[in-house]
Amino acid sequence: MIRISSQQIFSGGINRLQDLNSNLVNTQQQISTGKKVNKPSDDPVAAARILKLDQDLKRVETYGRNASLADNRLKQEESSLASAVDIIQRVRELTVQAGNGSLSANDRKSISAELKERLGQLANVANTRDASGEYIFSGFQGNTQAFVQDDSGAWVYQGDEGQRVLEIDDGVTVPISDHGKGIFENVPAAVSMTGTNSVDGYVSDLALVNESDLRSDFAPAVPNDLTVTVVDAAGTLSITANGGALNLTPVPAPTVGEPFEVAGIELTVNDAVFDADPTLTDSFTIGISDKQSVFATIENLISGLDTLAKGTPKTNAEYDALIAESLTNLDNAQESLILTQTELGGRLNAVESTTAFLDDSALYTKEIRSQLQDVDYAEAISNLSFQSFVLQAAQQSFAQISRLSLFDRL
Amino acid sequence: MAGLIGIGLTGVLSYQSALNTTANNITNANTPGYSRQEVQFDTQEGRRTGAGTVGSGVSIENIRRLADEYLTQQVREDSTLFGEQNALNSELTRLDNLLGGESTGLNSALNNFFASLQNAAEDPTSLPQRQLVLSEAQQVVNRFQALHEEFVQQRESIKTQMGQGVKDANTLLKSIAELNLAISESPGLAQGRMPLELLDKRDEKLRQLSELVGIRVTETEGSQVNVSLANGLALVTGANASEFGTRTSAEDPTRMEFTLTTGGRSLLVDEQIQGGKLGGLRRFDEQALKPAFDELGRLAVTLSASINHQNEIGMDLEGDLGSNFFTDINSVELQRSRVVPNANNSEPKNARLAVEITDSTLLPAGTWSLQFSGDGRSYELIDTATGETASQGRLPQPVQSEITMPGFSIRVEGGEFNAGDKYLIQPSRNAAENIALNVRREEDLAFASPIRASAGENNLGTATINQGKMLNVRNPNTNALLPGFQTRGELANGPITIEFDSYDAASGTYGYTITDNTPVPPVGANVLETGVYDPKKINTFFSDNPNAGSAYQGYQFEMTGEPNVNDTFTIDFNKNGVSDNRNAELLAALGTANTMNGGSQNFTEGYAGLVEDIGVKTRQSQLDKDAGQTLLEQSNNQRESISGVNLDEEAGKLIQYQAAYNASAQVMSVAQDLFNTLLQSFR
Repeated sequence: MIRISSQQIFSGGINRLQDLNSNLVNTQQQISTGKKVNKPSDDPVAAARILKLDQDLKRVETYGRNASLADNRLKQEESSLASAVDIIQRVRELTVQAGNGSLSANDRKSISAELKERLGQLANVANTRDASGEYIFSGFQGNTQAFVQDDSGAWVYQGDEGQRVLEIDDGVTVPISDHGKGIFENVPAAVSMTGTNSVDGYVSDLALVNESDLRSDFAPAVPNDLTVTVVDAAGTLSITANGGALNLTPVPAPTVGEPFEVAGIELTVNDAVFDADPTLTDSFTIGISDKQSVFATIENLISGLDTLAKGTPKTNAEYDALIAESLTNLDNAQESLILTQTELGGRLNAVESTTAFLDDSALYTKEIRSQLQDVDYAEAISNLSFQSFVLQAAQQSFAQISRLSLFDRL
Repeated sequence: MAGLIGIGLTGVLSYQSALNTTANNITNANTPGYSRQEVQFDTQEGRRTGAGTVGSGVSIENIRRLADEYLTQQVREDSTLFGEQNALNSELTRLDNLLGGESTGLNSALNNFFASLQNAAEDPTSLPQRQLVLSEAQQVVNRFQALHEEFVQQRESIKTQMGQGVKDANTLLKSIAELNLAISESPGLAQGRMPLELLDKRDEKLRQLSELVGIRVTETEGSQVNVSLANGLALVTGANASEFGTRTSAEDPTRMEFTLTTGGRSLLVDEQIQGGKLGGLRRFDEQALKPAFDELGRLAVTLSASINHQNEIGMDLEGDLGSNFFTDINSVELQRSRVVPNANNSEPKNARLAVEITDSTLLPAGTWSLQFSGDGRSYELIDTATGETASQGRLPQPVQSEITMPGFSIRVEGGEFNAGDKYLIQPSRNAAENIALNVRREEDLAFASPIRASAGENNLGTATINQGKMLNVRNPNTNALLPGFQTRGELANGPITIEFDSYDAASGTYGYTITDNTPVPPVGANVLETGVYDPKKINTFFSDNPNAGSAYQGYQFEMTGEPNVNDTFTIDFNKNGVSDNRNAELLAALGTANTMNGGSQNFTEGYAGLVEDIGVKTRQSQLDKDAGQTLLEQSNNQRESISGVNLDEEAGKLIQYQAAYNASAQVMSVAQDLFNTLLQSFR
């Protein structure tokens, strides 16, 4: 039997009460904060993971905010592009109207007047600004107006090829802007006559009839120009490209006034004359791989409607060529816009699915954090009542034992 | 009859003493260190008669103290253990709460800072967004400085506690020596009569001393004890006591070290202070606080270095190249402040050393001691945490040289070095204090990238160029601005032209030439790089190797697709590029980039590592403390079961002795009755 000193009875009892008290306070703290990890030492590994999860949650929150901002921007751009498409559609209708052979010069003037309005409208759309006043189609140079009219009245792109990209999830980025150069400037131009030294000669019925022939004849890249030259007094034509390095003349060689097809392009050369001096003989440059801004297309159309006087076969051919080219160019411009719109739709989809993913991921992260950090109330409360029961019992028994003394019986 | 009275008298007297002793036990039941006393009775020598021996009563042989030297020793050892764990645990708990607290820790400030960058990237021209980035960055700085300040305060508090502990220990040592003297001079010692209360007092003082520091106690002649430190250094010899002291450490002036003065001679005993409160405080400083300083500082260094670099290679809202975001981690003052010369170094003490952070990603958190030996030019770099040699070698003559370590290098700038000189190398110790915002204006945040590219107007191919990636504006080898960035607001050698000049039909590849803006006549265009372009791959222009000559421009561009011969692409300064958010995205991305620990951890993980480390240590010390407490309680209980007073037991003895006293008195009364009876029979 172990001897017990009176001090032991008291100090032992008090120590046990202390322990029970501190356990009780611990449980109470867990319940009142709702957390079982209140300081890192409660569970060091969980504490480190909680820090990481906090970071993840903050990031997911930030990404969510970015995703909704990206959504706004993309929608703004989309609505701008939609109005641009509408305007070009109207311009196309006007161009078709202008192609009507029975129009008088005055009719053409009135069409050109509306075209000028539409051109201004289109420029406005291309110079759309966002909420903080930045031009959305200027690339990196948001403080620079995207399209400005130069001295000759032509709309010229002032921005660059920059594109703003926003991160909407770890490693997932979405472009939130497009530069005007790609949308409005770099529009493939229709095949057209771009230059000649001939006085009376002209090209008519110029059209690209077979694009795959064009591509296959010039692998890997289509050159800028074709050159059509009159090589003899009989009006025989030679067709070359790449500064004469590539001879494309079909066999038999076509002649002036006769329609022919070369590299998928159909054309007729009219009224061209031969000169013995190779530099003076009539030649025509056909641009086959040019780009033209949608503004230039409309500007050309307007100036053509204003200035071209129909009457001679040559001017008639020129007028017809202008209308045909403009229609092709407008179609190309519309295609470029619709392509960008499709891309925007894809980005919007990506933003939407990322947002959904972010929501899921936030939920999941919160759940893990909760498992690590949050107290199980059922368990904690049952602990609390059990601990208070034990404490009560300890208090009562201590009080009872400490009352026992032989001296009371003396 | 006289015999009977005599016998009764011995009983009365003895039981009086026994009752006194019991009363003394009862009244001292709550006196700390008291050992219960017990009277040892003995029979008095009897008278020999023809019929045999007739007893002559009782006598008190001794009053002894019930104490077990082994148990007392056990209590002392357990007090030392518990004292150490208790001090360690209470300091660690403070650190633990500080680092883990949601508002006091670093984590939420870091998260908010990177979130503000991420948000600002959406609209890089917005001044309010930029302002938010600055104020969140200021919060990060504030947290670093506040944590550092808390660490410093805790270091100072430890020093105060050490000073107080030393004073307490000295008082105890003196008392023990005095008690030794008093005990040895106590009368009756030679007859084995011990001064019981003095022994109790001395044991109690020894126990109190063992709470402060681990000691060894050996009994010596005259019932004196000698007290020594665990390794044998004497603290009390007989009646002589040594004295503890503290002084500023020669190695590290922010710390304090222990000395022991015996007979006018002072010894450094820092290493010998083990266990107890003083040992616990030392352990906390060594194993928790110092590493925490280094680790927090490393976090500050890495954050500054990576954000600074990213901001530096960007372009601000006004079209200038960015500057340091936080204070430069390698300013001359900071480099010099990372070296602390030992106060005991030999004259002339004119050596100049500096520590430069060369790669914060590789920087370890730690402290090193640079020690010179031999003719003063041989050196050894020792990791103070492990005691291992990290590097050794000889300084050249003249001494200007560098000692390169992973992540940092020690620059020997000049001066004289002597054998025995020591320098403390602390690359990150004070970095958390020195971090500050360098960028003050919203406009100076470099959210854009200073370069951009565009395709030529008349390009026929379908190749597209990206907008480029900045690597550096300075040459990493020389730290001088690269040629292209030496003029403000433009690419000094721009625009730079990439031109495709040939096509190889056999391999399907193109040749390209990159030229800068040098006027063509008379010298011809200055060619920066030529190469082969494969349309089936992602092609990179320019090199990322700073030693590649003109092919290293500090940036790289990538191109894909099919170009055409004579197609050109132009690289130029991103003039007016206010809407560019590329660098903001890169700054924000640093929040999760693995920039620490050799590229294995991001900032949050680095900080979580510190929190986890302190958390584990705190938890461990909590367990150790609980174990120590249980052990101490057990040994106290064992001691109590021998030496403690049980009041019920004493009450029993009181009754027992009282009865015996009464009986002895009754014996005397019987003797008187006998005498009276005898007298009466003669009347």
